[in-house]
This record gives sequence, structure tokens and C-alpha cells, in this order.
Amino acid sequence: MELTKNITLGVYLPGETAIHHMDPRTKIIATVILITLLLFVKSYEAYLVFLIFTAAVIIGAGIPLSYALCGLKPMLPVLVLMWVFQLFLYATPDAEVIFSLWILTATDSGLHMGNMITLRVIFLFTVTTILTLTTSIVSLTDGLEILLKPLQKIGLPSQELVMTMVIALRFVLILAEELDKILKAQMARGVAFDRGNFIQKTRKIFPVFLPLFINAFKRAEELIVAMESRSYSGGRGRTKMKTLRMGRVDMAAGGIMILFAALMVFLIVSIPSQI
Amino acid sequence: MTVSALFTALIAILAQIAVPLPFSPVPFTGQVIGILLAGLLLGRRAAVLAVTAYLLLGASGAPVFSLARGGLYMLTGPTGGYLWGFVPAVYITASIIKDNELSSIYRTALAMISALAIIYICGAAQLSLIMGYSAGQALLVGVIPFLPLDLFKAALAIFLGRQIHITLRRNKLDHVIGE
Repeated sequence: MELTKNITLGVYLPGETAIHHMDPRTKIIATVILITLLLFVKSYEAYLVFLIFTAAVIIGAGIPLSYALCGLKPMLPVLVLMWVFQLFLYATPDAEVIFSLWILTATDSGLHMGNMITLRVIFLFTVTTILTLTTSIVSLTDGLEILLKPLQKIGLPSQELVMTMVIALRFVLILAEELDKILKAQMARGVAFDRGNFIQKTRKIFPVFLPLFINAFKRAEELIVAMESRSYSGGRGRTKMKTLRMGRVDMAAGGIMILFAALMVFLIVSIPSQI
Repeated sequence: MTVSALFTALIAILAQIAVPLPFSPVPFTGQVIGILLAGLLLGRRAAVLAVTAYLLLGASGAPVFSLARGGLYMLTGPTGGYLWGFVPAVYITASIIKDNELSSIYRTALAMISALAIIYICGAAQLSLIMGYSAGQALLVGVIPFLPLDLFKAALAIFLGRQIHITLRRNKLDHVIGE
């Protein structure tokens, strides 16, 4: 059994650029628009425009290119596999054969399909990475809380949700330590976690999980008592230490986004699908 | 709320426990066990709150998903559907279990199976949406390979859930779940 040790919090890359200073709400909405656009892009020309836009944002945010793309590395084998899959398996009736390999035939429609999907996955990754690289978790949760507020009418408690997230963040660290302690305690009692077959290994999980859960519940009870004794009631009427404000940067960003979205929609509609 | 936060953290921790499997490239992780346990032990509202917070936390970049991954991409990428599916899954599980008492084993099993089914449906749907797979292809790539292991995890979750329930009651802590 191994425990991933590096539970560092977030992948935020601090900076002082306009994109870092933007209101998290603007950034979240912009990201959602970009993701939606990506699902409809079906031509190389449109991807080229998208590439230029994304590159401009990355440069504008001062993110080193290696940093923006390093997360793609572990996905590389999957991406290649996906591409090969599409190359050989996807064929429209009128597709032209590029080459044949034993029983497999590569068609031009498969090639385009493979390219499109690989590009889509890469861009999805890059766009969302830009958001998390330039926005800290705390400001993201602040932004989310406000954006989710309209959902309160259908019963989604946005303030409570965000409070849950913040408490959980704290609990993760405490529980990780606790789990480490329990693992060591059981090892000291002679439990060899790395020995035995699969069934034996899973049986050894029980003496770890049970104390972890029970201790965790004890801690939760302590926190509940502590919060109640300080009259925490949450929700309505609670004020923020930092209030979010939309500034000139956000207006400019909004304008750019509208222009870009319009351009993309135009490209998507006017260029025939290349798949 | 505090218990939800606790469960969010527990899911995050369970997701980090990885047992490498000799027969599969995908390691055994506790993420799904955590999700199923949330559905089993918590009430409907608390369970949904816990899982939603977990997803949002992961989306904001905290590496709480399995193998210390995180970032919005996890939710919007090809495999994001499996994560989104957790929310309706725990809702259904908690609804089927309903009372805070120990339910019958059949009822629990039904809850687990419907939870897994929902996770698979959401997962396969997003997979086919992004990758352009047909329903059959999505099923073949995204559901069938994981079925045996996930059923095993569900069984594990049932046993763990019962043990935890019994131990909590013995320690007079079971009122915490009810809040």
C-alpha cells in the first residue's frame, strides 16, 4: 500500500499580471465559454485561431510554456493510443484509404477524426490549466460561491458548500497525517502491507480504515461543538472579509471574450466540418 | 456540514491510497469506496454536499482526485463523467438507504449497484460526447474493463460501512452522522 505524499494544495502559480488580478468570476465564466466552444470546433482553421488565442493568454499570464504543458506528459501514451484508434477504426463510407497494414486500414477520415479529438483534448487541458494556474483555490471558491448563488433558489446551499470545501481542505491535511500514523502503528504491530496476495492485502485495509474513520468522526464532533459554542450559523447575513469587485480589467476581458466567441462561432458555422 | 466536510476529506484521502494490481494498468484506488461510503453512511443532503464539495475542490486544482490529480480538466476531460456521476450516485444511494439504521444487505447491495450504474452511465456519456464514440464503443472502453473491480469495491464498501456503523454506535458517536 502506498500513500501519495505530495498533497500540496493546488497548482496555483502566483503572479502579478492582469490575468492574475482578474475577478475569479470573470475567469470561471470565460473558461466555461471556451470549453463550450471547443466541443463544437471541427476544422483546422478554427483550431489555429484557438491556438493563437490560447498562446496569447499564456504569454499574457506569464506562465512558462513548459509549466502549462507539463501536465500533458502523463497523458501522452493515452493520447497516442486514442489517435491510432481513430486512425484505423473511424471511416466514413466515402473515405479514401491512405495505407493498409495487415487487416487494418487507415483512412483520411480516420486521420482527421484522430487529429480533431487529440487537439480537442489538448486544448481542453490547456484552457482549464490556465484557470487553475492563475487563480488560487481560495479566490476560486469565493468566485464559485457567488456564481452558484442563483442555484440557491433550487435548493443548492452555495455558502454551505463553500464552507464545506474550506473545512475539508483543512481536514485533508489532518487526516493524511493521521493515516500515516495509523499505518506506522499497524506496521509496528507487525502488519506487512506489501506482502500476501490480493485478498490478503485487502484484508489488511480494515485495521487501517476503521480507526481512521472513527478518529475522523471524533474530530468532526469536536469541530461541531466548537463551532456551535461560537454560535456559527452560516448562510444568511454573513459578511465576507474580502469582497470581490469587477474592475476595468474584467470589462476588457469580457469584451475580448465576446469578440473571440463571435469569431469562433462564425468560423464553426462558415467552415464545413472536416471530420 | 462539518460531517460533509469530513467526508470530503475522507474521500480525498481514500483516493490517495493506491494498491498496484498485477493484472491491470489501473491501480486499485479507494476513491469509489469513499464515494459509496458517503452514500451509505450519510443522509441524502450531507452526502450530496460532501461529494459536490469534493468535485469542486478537485476542480479548483487541489490534488484530491485519485493519484493526487486535480484541476478543472479532470471534470471536463474525457473521463470527467465518472466524477460528475458521483453526485447523482450518492443521492440515489442515500435515498435507497434512507434511515440511519443498518439496512438489510439486499437493500444495501441494490443501493451500491444503482450507484455504480449511474456513475457508469454518466462516465460513458461524457466519454462518447468528447471522443465521438458510439454507445457500444463507450461501453466497451469505459465500462466493461472496470466492472469486476468496482463490484469488488462495492462489496468492500458494504462491509466497511457496517463495521464503521457498529463501531460508531459502540463509541456513542453515531449521532454525528445524523446531524
